[in-house]
Amino acid sequence: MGFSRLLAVGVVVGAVAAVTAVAAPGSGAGAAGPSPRAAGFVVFVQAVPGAEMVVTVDGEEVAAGLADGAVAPPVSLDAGPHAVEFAFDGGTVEATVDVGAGSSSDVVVHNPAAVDGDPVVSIYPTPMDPIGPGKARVVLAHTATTAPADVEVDGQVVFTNIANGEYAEADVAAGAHQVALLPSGVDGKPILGPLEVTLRAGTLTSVYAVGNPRQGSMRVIVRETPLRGDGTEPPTRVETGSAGLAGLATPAS
Amino acid sequence: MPAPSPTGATPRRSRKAAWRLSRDVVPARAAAAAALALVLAGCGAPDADRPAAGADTPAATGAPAAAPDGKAPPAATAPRVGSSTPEPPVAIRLPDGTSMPVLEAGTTSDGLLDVPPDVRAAGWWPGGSRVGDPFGSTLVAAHVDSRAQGLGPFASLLQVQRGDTVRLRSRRLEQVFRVTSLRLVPRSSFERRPRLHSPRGTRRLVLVTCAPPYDTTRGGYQNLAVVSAVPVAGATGRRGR
Repeated sequence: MGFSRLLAVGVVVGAVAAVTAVAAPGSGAGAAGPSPRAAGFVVFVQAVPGAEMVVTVDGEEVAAGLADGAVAPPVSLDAGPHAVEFAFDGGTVEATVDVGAGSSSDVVVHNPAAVDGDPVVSIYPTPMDPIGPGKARVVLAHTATTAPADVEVDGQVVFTNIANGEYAEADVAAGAHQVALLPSGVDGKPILGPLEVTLRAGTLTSVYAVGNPRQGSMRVIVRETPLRGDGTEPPTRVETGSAGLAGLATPAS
Repeated sequence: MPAPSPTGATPRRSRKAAWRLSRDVVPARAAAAAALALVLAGCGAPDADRPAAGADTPAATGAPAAAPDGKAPPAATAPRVGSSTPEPPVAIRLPDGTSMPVLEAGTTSDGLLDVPPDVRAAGWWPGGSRVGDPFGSTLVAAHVDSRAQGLGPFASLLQVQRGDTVRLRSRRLEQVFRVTSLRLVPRSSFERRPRLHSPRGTRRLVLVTCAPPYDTTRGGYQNLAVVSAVPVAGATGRRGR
């Protein structure tokens, strides 16, 4: 099992990740052998409040100084299992991540629903299917220290009962939307929001809800990924009839 | 050093909220003034030449039992929950009870909605909303008639009433819509009515076909019948699927 790292490690200062161009798998420095190996992309997301982490994959450091809310630049990993470790002052979190060929995923270290629970690692996809014109995709991930939540978009409950470690996904009209998290199954004020999230056409926006509402620390980690258009074009003409038989009165049978 | 929590592949859970609260979790009540900090973390896009992952491409998953060092537990694969996965419509049942297949109707290079030539089949514009999408318009059109086949099922829409129901089906879902309006608009105005097929706005079904008057000197039907319908309820799983 090899580990091909095809980009410079981005050192994160504060909560903003450095943006680094990523070469396609199998090309550029570090690719071994004449043929490209099957690989996938992984983005490490640090969603544990108050911690600063160093991420190693198979014993090699890939990102350091990841404060909470930080998103590391994409890392290309050979398809197959990899040992991932997040190290911080409070300890380490280790997990094995099986990377699929051609996959795009966020590997997220986050707190569980239970207060004072140890951080866990969850793999959230970045669904890269092509998208239609005027649309944007949103992934809403629950990585907060709270019970399951419903999601309200533009005043309408769109997703229900999303628990810590789960996510909801939808393609919606591009533009600004009001998003709120509500506690599932109980009446109460929003856990988070309403807050305005702008979704740009032809993109995927991954939104990670983080924090503890009881401490007033709820916030979101937001990252945007471009998508390919699916090639559909809106129609401008309709021709749906040619015999002149239709009448507005009830036709004789 | 605290041990990592054991995690495994997240099993499917039933969709009941209340019993899932653990002992340590107090039901969430927002603080009076929750501090919200929107943290925007830009992320460079993978190189444009990278092949796009298709719908069948697997994400990274929690590893099988044979981990590289035999120690680190597999990371949990987050399941997608909260709503049905949207699907293209495959069949429609009109208010008069007629069922028709629904095929994709793309846009030709000169902007024409490519409706199936068979009057017994309807066409759906694939850039619009699907069965199970939370917002936006699903545009479905069919020929009102043809010289070869005579009047088609969509001709019945010219007599539709407010409150009539239309059933839309996909492979695994179905959704019932209630007609709210029937309008006649000039066929030439279709281009200026993007709301008929836009993903923007509330969830709706828009059925379109040609309508009188018919003028052979001016290209045939002059109007479009536009039937608008709103969901009676969310999309649900089809029985037995």
